[in-house]
Amino acid sequence: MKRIRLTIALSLALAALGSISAQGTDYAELLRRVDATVTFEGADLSAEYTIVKRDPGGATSTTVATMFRRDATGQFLILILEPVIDKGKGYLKEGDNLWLYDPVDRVFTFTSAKERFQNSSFRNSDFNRSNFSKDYTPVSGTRERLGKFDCTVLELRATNDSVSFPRMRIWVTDDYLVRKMEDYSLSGQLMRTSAIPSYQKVGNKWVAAGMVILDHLKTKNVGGKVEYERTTVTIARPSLAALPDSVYTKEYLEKVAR
Amino acid sequence: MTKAGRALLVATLVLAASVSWAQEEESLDDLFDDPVGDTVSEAAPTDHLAQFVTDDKIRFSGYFNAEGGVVAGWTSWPVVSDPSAGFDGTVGLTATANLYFDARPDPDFRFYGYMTTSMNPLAGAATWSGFSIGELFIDYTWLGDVFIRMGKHDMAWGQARLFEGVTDIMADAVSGFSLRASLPTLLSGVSVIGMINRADVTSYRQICYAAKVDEVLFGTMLSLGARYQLDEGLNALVSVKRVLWSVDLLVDTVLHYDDEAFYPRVLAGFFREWPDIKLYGEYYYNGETEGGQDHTAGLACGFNNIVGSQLDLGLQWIHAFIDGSGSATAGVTWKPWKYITATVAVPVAYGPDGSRYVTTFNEDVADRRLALVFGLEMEVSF
Repeated sequence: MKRIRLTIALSLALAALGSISAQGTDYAELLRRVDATVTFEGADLSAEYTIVKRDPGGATSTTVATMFRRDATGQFLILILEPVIDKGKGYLKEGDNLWLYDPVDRVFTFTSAKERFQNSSFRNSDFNRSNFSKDYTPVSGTRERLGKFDCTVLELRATNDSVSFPRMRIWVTDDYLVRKMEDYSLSGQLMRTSAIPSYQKVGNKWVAAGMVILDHLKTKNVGGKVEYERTTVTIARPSLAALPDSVYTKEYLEKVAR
Repeated sequence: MTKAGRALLVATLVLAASVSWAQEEESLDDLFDDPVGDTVSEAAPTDHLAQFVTDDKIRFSGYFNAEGGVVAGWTSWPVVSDPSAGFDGTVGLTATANLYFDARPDPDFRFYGYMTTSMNPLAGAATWSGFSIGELFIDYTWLGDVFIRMGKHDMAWGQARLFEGVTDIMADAVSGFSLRASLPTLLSGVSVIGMINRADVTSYRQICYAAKVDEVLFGTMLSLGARYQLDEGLNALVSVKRVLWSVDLLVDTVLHYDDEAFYPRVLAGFFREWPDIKLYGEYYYNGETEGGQDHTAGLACGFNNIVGSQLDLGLQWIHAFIDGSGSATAGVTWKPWKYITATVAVPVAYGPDGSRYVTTFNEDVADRRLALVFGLEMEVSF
């Protein structure tokens, strides 16, 4: 029994130490600052997303959508503008719950928020506010050069099973912006790599200007080179214009869908 | 070579292969070598809502669909001694055109409708039917919080996909005149409905009344609905849905009560989606059928881009336990040209003669048991 207690105590101590590096950097605090830098607690954020998916070695497809997000309540509403066949489809997220709206059948479907957005490598959960500090615990950190950026690279473990990926590595620049992410399965398999080379400042917070995602589960050997499904996301015309509460409701989705 | 030597050689080759593989992999790191710099957005806030809630002019859009095909097969099980016995072939051609209009002069008001016409030249006159109104309604936002939709409009309750509409107690809404008032910010939505769905309504007692409440509790969607009309009786709907391990699990229960009968209808099902695969399963119990033994089950699976091709494969199987009949269909679709979808399918209907899926629910106009279908569909939205 004593041995079990000792093991538990050691595990807890190691977990606590894991969030503080040898140089004294508090990685948990770093995650909180990362969240704070891109979270709009006191405002609604709206923007236009263009998502271009390129199949490995193959065709491309484009989705254009408008997103409305309220970080204070964890809500977002997304309306598809293109392609024409999906125009009017909508997504409404409230907390952990996601509703999909199909304007042709007038049907709302309640589903998991982790699924792929319009069958691309971008996920429904990627529209969420940043929540690294609550969803993940830093287990280690190193300094690394990423192109022209000096970064802190954090190894993260999920604290709950509501997240899409149980393990992550993130590259954070000294201005607390995440530049690169690697998403892993529990067994350590690399699932997805995301790059965010540039951001845009809106008010006193930051929004990604664009990101590129590789889905490592969708590959094809093209001319001797391994190609992955590649999704390019461009976020344009970010705005902090105030929105009424009724925007984040199913009825609103039904009303505005064309 | 010794065992250890062979093991070392294999390990070396695997390592070399993996290194060479890794060198050829697509990477994102070069994006950081010379990225576009971070920017500061100083533009005036954009009103992204405006594009959805107001429009200076009436917006028109349309939809055209034409389907043609050939079905050939046997109305009874084929026999080797006389393959022509029960063999029958049919050609078919239908076309549908819809014209939509949508006016949004004010964020609180919208006027929407569509007209539809169709033609079936092989089953009657080769002329278009007269245009009829598909939907025609107004949306009005009252006091900012109450969403009102009034007119001829569709609504869908219940969650069935394979047994579409079996628990949708408002499935006939589009053929009536409805007034729906919704409070979207109360719980996950509360709606009350008054619907006129019969001729010569002269009293409020003849109106059909309905209400629905949605709420999400501990990650589980719960929906309670009820519909009452004096002559129809009461239909109450309880819908539950939860996502577990990426599987959608759903149950709908409808209780019907009137002066002569009380019976339940129950639908339970699941749905799971992978990047290129969709899988549905449903079970349906209809307590309205005499004897209380009307159980049906169905399974459907769709595969996109099978073996890397442009072909999509669909499989569906439905079985009625009450009479041992059922249908099984395998079909392949592809898009050879813009707007065109081609389909080749083999539907099979099994069970006793005259049974549910051999006759009543057989979607083949000639009630064939085994057939080969080839169809072309043109579908354009504009």
